[in-house]
Amino acid sequence: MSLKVAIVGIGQTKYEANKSDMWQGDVAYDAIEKALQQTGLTYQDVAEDGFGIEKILTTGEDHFIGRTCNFFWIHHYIGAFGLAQNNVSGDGTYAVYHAVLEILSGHHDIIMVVSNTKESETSRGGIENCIFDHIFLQPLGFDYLTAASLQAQRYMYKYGIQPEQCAKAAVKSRRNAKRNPYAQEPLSIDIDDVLGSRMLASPIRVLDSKPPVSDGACAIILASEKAAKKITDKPVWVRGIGNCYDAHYLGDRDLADCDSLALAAQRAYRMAGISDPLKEIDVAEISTEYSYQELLWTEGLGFCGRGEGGHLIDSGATQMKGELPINPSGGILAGNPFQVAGTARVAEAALQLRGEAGRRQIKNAKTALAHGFYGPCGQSQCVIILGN
Amino acid sequence: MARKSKEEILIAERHFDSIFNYDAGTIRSKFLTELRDNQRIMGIRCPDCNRVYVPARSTCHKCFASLTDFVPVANTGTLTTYSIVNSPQPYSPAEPPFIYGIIQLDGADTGLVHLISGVDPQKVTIGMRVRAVFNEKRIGSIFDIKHFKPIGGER
Amino acid sequence: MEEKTTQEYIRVPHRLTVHWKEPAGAFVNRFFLRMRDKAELWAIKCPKCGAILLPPEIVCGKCKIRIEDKEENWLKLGNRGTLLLAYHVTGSREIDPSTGWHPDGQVFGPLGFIRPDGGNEWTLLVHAMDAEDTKNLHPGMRVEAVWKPRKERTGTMQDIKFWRTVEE
Repeated sequence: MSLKVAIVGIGQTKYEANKSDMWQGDVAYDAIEKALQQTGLTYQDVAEDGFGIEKILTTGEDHFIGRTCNFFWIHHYIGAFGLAQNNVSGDGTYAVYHAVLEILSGHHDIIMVVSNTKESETSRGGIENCIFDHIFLQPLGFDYLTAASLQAQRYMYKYGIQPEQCAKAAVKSRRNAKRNPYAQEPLSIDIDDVLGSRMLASPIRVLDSKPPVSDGACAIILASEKAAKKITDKPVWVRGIGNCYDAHYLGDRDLADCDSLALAAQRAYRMAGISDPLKEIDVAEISTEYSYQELLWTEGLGFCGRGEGGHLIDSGATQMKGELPINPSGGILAGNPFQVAGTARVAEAALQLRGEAGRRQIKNAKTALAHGFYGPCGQSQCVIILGN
Repeated sequence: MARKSKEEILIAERHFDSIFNYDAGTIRSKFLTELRDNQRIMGIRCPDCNRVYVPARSTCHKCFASLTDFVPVANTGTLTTYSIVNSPQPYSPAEPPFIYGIIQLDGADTGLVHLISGVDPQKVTIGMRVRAVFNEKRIGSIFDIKHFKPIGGER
Repeated sequence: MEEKTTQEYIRVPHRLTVHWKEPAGAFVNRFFLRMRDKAELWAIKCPKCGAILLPPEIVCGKCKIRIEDKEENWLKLGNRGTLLLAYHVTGSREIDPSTGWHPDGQVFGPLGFIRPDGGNEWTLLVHAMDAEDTKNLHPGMRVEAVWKPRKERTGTMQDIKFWRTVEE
């Protein structure tokens, strides 16, 4: 990219099943305050020299809060009072995508992305059901789990993926999460625990799935090259970014392949000048709500060929000490709320490049990948390449 | 910080209950009325790529062509994937365990998503041949097809 | 032969039932507890700009800083205040065309914009007035909160029954 955009600040709450003593605004502010303190930044209108955050981009699903115009009623908590704010529909990675575009356009120099969801306040499944086509799918009672189960079954059938191979992703995530202080569900489990857990929707079992409820927030501050150099000596540059949609109707695509992810990744790799992602990327934070998705998405991301996701995880390459560690944070399988999930992937990837990932740090990480998706069976995909 | 508070926590509860009405539009209405009136499953052919989409819709997502060429497809087809659902939800269409499936109907190039029934869940396999079972009372809904069941009973 | 085809348009109904349960946050929670238990209104003061916020919030939206949970930032407002404005919605009694809802039998009283004593220009409470209409409600009038009895108070804005005008 001719103009550069950097991530300069990161704040996350601890992710928990039930932040019942915190209002939505309190949860958002918990993450925002950390990002402000880390950067020493404030907002443009209250900064003495006028150097500060100019715009706030949020992600939030109206159904979760039971109000329209998401974030309007907590605008003062996100610092939007007297500034510009927009809510981006979809995963948090899309808000990051829009922030990058707005900075590249020259319209703004410093933008804060805020994602905030309290799944505990209502039924996530019921809201997922509303995402589906109203005429042909929603009446059938689908949610993300049951749609994903059709994809998992198809993927495992077409490429001979074994339940043990999917379970490895579930185990790895929960074990990695033990090194992440923000993680909701760090667990010392093994493959037998996963395969022995209750079947939710075949072939997906309880431990193949993300925790049913998660609350939390994540804030990321992005800045133009000029502004970034004033804010931090550890800017994390956005080197490539791409997104892509696929068909919504579940019968329209072969669910065993994730063509939209492959295209999103190609776009991001082209921009970042990456030709061999497995070699050139040092760490990846990918959005995995169900264990099979880690295997399938690694194929879409070109870390391995089609149908080779099982071999890749068997090889150990995606373990903490492997060639390309995937989800050192534990990822969504260890608990991240809807839409915050993608923002948290970007945050974790950036922490790795800043060398601030604590006990989950991958040594000498120079290039990182963050991935988010939205819609059933990964209908729409977003890939972000970061580098220092 | 809220965390340190030992005070009693008050919780506000709110409820929402409303009926939405979604317009199916020209092409989808035709698909639904054909199910209702003729127990016929309508696909639609793309004039550019020749793909037959089921259910019928108004555009080809590959060519972005406008679709008007309705083609009836068979009530029989092949199961391309399925799932046995064990966890009940308020919006579930049936008592668990129930089975979702995607069926590639004979004459169609895409899959139809529906329920599979009339079979022991443990005996469902990808590649299984199934046939649509229509409801007695049909109202112009995707549930005018009750479910799909294996051809020739259980195998 | 002329074949007449008529297009029929289908509408698919979807019943959406959702429940939410929502905490109010540390400061507003305390605000409601003190309304319920003590029949008192507590606001928070921004240490930077001095704005007195009702309901109390952990962030000053103007200064964009956290307001710490310290004794000196909390402020008990008076049970009396000044009426800044009152209005009464008396129209819009038609049937809602999309839902069929009609506010049959419901009586809407006038609403008052009240600044409780101790508040400043950032302090404003909108609440029900004990009046049939706005005829005798004028800006600058002194008003007083009338609380429900303790056993009827649950920690909501309705713990105050209404505000009535008082002579001083």
